[in-house]
Amino acid sequence: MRIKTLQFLFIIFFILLGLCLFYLQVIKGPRYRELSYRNSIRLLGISAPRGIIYDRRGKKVAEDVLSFGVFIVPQEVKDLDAEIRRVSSILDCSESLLKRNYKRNYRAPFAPCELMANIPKNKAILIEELKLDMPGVLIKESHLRRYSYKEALAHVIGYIGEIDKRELGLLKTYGYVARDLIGKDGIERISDATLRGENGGMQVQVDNRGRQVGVLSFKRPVKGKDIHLTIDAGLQDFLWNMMKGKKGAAIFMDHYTGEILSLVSTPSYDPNASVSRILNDKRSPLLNRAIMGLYPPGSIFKIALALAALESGKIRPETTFVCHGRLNVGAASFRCWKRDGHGPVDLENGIIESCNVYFYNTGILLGVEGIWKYAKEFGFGEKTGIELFGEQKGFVPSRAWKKTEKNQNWYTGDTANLSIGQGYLLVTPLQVVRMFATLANGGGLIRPHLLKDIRDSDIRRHKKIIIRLKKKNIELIKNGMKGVVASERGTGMRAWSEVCSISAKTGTSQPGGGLKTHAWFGGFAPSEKPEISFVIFLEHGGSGGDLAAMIAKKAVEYWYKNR
Amino acid sequence: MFDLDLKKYKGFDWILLGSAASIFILGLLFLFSSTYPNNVGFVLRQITWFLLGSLIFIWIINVNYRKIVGIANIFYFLTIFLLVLVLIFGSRRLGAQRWLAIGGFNIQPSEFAKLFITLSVVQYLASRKAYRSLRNIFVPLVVIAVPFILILKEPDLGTALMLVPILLILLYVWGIPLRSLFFIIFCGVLFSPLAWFLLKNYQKERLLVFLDPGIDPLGAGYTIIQSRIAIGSGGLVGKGWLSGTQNQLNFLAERHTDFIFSVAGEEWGFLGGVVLLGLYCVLIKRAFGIAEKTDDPCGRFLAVGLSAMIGIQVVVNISMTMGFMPVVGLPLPLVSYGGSSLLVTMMALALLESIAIHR
Repeated sequence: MRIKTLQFLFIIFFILLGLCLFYLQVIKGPRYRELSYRNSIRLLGISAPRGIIYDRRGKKVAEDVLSFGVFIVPQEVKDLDAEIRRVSSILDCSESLLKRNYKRNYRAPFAPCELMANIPKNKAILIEELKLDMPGVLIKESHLRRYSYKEALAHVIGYIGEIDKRELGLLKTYGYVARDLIGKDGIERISDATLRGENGGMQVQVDNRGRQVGVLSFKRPVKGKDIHLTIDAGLQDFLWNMMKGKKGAAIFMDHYTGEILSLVSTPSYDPNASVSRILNDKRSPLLNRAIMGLYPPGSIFKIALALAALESGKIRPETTFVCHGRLNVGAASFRCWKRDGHGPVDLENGIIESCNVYFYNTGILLGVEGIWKYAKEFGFGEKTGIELFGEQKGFVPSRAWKKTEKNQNWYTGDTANLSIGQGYLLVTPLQVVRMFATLANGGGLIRPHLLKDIRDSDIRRHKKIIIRLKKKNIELIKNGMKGVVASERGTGMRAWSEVCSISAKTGTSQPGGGLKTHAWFGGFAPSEKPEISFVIFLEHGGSGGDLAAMIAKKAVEYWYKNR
Repeated sequence: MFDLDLKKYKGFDWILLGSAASIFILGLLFLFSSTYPNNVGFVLRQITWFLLGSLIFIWIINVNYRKIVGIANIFYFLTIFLLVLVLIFGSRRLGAQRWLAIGGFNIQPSEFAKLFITLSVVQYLASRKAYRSLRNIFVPLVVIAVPFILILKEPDLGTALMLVPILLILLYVWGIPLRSLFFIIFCGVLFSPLAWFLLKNYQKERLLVFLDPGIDPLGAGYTIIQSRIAIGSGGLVGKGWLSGTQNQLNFLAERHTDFIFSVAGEEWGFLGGVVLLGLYCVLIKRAFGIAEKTDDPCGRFLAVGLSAMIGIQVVVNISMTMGFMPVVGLPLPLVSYGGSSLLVTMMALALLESIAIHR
């Protein structure tokens, strides 16, 4: 009978359970008793080393170094105050600090509680030697993240910190636990999953004095994977030294591949230091101006405008406008920066001398729709897709926008302003350098990126969007840009270099409100066969042809000599 | 008022009731110890559920079980409704969304689901009298599949998995030829790799950790190792009532619920454990005995299903605490703290007695 079979089956199971019980309790009983006595099992977490971040030449820009911390196991301590006093005298720090840390880090009677982190190695050795006289005190190794380039690379690499409640809520399913270290910004954040590795741990048996007498089980930590950046740390450091103390951004990029050789934003912060002080700094050093700063581009936009007008046939290379120092548009008068005017100006000279009147005319011929179309094609008003958080889209105005948002008509004067990169147009330095890159590589809108490749996984494929540009138009603009630096009338004369020929465009944009102008200087080098594109931006830095041009020259020379 | 017609209750199985009551009383002792020193609340709550369960018990044994099976459909849809409710409104605890908070009490629909689904399957099988062809299996399979998936999503791996052997046992008793049974099992084994992907990470981890607790000494493996040490350290006669709390048990998070057997093992030793096992053995044996003595197919199937439901839980839970099975979160019937589990077990026992009486 089947039911009888089932009944019998269950009885067998129970007998088996009884036998297992016998095995555990009678045969292995004494051993387990020993293990259970006085809570003799310790859990020790072994943290996994985080992956190293390298620059393009293999220099370490972020790595883990060994650090030592003093811990205390509450239930093994007889006289807490005495022990703390002893530790504080060895470490030469205040007792109250240790007591505070003890309260903050206490978890459970059997869990080691951190008294002090990152103590010097000699002190760690000393405490380790005196351990037997201080029951419950132990030294644990851990990893400290060190950023050798400090402020120079802060905005690219970011920093790490303890995971907070919000992040833990989002990431718990991915295996993150409380007190884990997680990247908070930059590459550390976006590549956290790759860099972080897997923590290990072990169960050790200790005797009643806390001495380890055996390892019960061990899980090896898995080191995080390393990452290689496209950044050239040497160039980055050089640029940082030139830019520090000012406000702005600088970017150097390989315009064929989209690899970013250098991305500097200043002011910056030292990611090795604690972040809470930094958050309250009024100069907003955490702001990455290269991708988050939105500014009017000023004359530097004339490059895009010229190309747009050429491509759509609105102007020809010979097209000439006469500059008397101003242009009347309707009732308003739009000025050129040269009071008396440049006289008759063609395209090449318009670029070299950055004549506003030339471009007012060009812009009005092209019309706001035309400008909008080409601006969008060049990637303005869109994110570039670089692997950093917080990138801004920027803004390209249009007739429709002004009607719906401001309930006003679009005036020809607005087009005039737009043509010289003022008005409602807002761009980021990264978008600007990408514009130059597109020109330099013959019309390919590349995606700027920072990650070179990740070990053990596919190299990303970077799609390039091809913008159709006539070769001769590109050559024309390039010639103009060459003249900006090479000609005596060029606005970028200060960037003239014996070492490496530079093609560029200056830009001096008005932020409004009577504040000092922003300085732009961007282009590519070497002029004959350009390899890299760059932009130097100084917030309220005066004229584009001054300091910005000089910094560009020095940086390009450095790059040229060391490439 | 109480018209006690004792002849009506002829056939009542006193040994079944006796063993269940003894287990419950022992369970209170374990509960008292495992929640010490803040234990009064837990024990009182458990007793409250027990009293409620007793009332339901008395009510059910006076009802003919056939009537209850007859309306199994209603229970089934009620179950689905509650399970969906839990997924939407359930309160999250310990990483799972299994409980509905109703007026200060927590109920766990998946516990009731076990019972109601068994009723539904029994209703279906009983109406077909005996096995005819493999096609008839399809309906019970679908009937189980929907709540199975809902329970799995909570996630409650243990309860969901438990439905499978109950179904198989019912099919077995229904008369399915052995080779068809093996065929079904074989299909299930074939498809289990698919199920692997349905599991959440921590459930996968639990299965892996079962095979080698050493691979996660700080997480899932920790509970298993600690539980085992607790039981093992009990030795022959145990450490004595309440003394377990000073030692291992501080480390066990679930010691008043799923891992309560480790309390029993540590404090009452091998002798205590054997007594408990013996009582359960008697309980299950009597339960199957009721099934055997019943001619009515509906009663037969129901008795078998209920016996299996209780029996599987006991075996799995105790194996789990000893570390011989993966941690799947099944409570120990009548002993683990939990109103829903206690009520469901008492209802099952009541139904068994109902079958015994209304032959």
